[in-house]
Amino acid sequence: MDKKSKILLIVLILLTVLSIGYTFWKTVIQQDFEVSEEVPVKE
Amino acid sequence: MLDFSLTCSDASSAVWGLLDFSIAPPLLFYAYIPIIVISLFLGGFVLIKEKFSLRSKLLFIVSIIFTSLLLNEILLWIAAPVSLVEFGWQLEPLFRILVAVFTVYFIYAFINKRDLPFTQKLILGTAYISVILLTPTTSNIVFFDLNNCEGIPGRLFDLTHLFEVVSMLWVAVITVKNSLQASMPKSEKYQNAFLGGAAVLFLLVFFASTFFGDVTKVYEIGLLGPVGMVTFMAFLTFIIVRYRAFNIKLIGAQALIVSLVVVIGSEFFFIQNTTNQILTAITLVITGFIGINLIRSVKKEVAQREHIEKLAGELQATNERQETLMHFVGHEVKGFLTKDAGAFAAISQGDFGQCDVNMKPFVERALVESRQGAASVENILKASNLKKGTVAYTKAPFDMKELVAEAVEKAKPAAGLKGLTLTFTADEGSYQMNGDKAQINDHVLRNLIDNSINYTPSGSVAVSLKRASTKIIFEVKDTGIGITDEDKKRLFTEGGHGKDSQTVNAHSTGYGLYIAKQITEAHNGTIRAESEGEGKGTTFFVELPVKPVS
Repeated sequence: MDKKSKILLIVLILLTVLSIGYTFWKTVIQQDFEVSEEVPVKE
Repeated sequence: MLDFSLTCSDASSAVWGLLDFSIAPPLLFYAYIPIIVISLFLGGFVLIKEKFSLRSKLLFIVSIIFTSLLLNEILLWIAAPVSLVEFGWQLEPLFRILVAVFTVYFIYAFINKRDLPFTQKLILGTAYISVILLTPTTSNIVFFDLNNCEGIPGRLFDLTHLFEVVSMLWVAVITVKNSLQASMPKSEKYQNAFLGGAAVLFLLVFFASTFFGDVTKVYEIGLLGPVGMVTFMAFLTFIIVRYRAFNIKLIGAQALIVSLVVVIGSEFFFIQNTTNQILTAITLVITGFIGINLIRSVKKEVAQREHIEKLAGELQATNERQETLMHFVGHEVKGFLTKDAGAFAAISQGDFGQCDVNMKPFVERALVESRQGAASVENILKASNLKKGTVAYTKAPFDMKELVAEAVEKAKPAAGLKGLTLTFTADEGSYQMNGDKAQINDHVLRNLIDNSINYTPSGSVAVSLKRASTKIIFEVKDTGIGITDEDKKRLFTEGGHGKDSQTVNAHSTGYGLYIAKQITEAHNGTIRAESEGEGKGTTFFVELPVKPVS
């Protein structure tokens, strides 16, 4: 694998870990998401 | 602190307060668990067998991501806390786009046998980044619908579906582009077409099932998606067995069938429904039956193939040894015959004093036969060198008409000795061409003229030259013994003798016309013979390309 591809791979892995980590923290730990018991009318 | 107190309304008796198996459809376990095991097994097996080659690593990554996606799907069905279900819904586009990205990457690397160019990696990476950046936002899951216990998909799901369609087309383009390569062997083309087709089918089933699941809100349709992976794996197994892709032999097929039987059998441990138990039992029996037959047939085929390959290897080695020996013997014999010919010539010409009158005819006869012997050995060595491709051609412009006229002149004594009429005619026009003059003269012109003289007991041999716009046509027509249809088939083959050729010409090696054909073809020309049959004469045609007359 060439150097440019390695950098791209590392960037993508880091972003993935950060994104999943942040989503887990926000959703499961902070419970920061909207919950509705009614299905809204679509736009 | 983690708070799992908020659960979906239909959740009941959750295991450890986290998992609820009551609402999960049986198909979820029936379809997903075997697929996970098979894809992981095949991916891991290929990875180890291929010693971590790029394509095997990519296939393994595809199977890992696919497994993660399926585990996430299972989580969506069995997780009781709303936060976990919401988290699972949020990860959905990420896994989906990763499956599409790595399927494209794998197919490219497999078919083209090289890494994906960086620009294409960048395009795939950009699509992926846009998904991971939007994962924690409301563009992914707008809100959580507690009534139906599901996330309401946002625009990110549309983007993911769009990319799935793009990746499907991408794989199709890679496959079609590859099949248009003229230089590729047919078997490799079929292999690549099978795999590319399977990947397109996989992405299509995968995309269509979730797309319609999302649109109709009947998420059970989405459960059919991973069936596409089964198709993909089935095609992959087929090309492994049929085309020996990934260099996996019998063990691959055996292990696959065994794991399939074990996985299907293991379903009895958690399937409670009688209908599903009967269905599983039938599947198990059918899989077992087909599996045993498949293993038997693969075993037989692999054994036969290995035996043939072994024999072919041995044959090649023997041929090479024989070729080397023949070369050595040929050179030795040619050396002795040349020396003998030199000695006989010296005796005949009186270099060692006046040759005895009674002895002279014998010496001259010995001289002719030594020369014929040396020429025969030379022919065999030449044919061997042509076959090995070690003959060098020195091409330069020359006049074909002059060369043919000289060749005819040199052959006249031999024709005269047999009482044959040897004539040469040439049409008007330029006969300048580019080629190896010596090779054409010695092995094409002389060969064909001598051949006609040798096989014509009486009558004539007519040599002619004709000029067409882009070629020179050299013809040798005789009134000789002719060629039967049976002999025509082996006329230009290596060592190919006619049925009666050695009766008429005892010195025939069977290599003359083979050499003439090789040399003609090395000049991009063609050679052929026409004869109406035995005793009706033969005409040889040599057509050599030349630049059009301006």
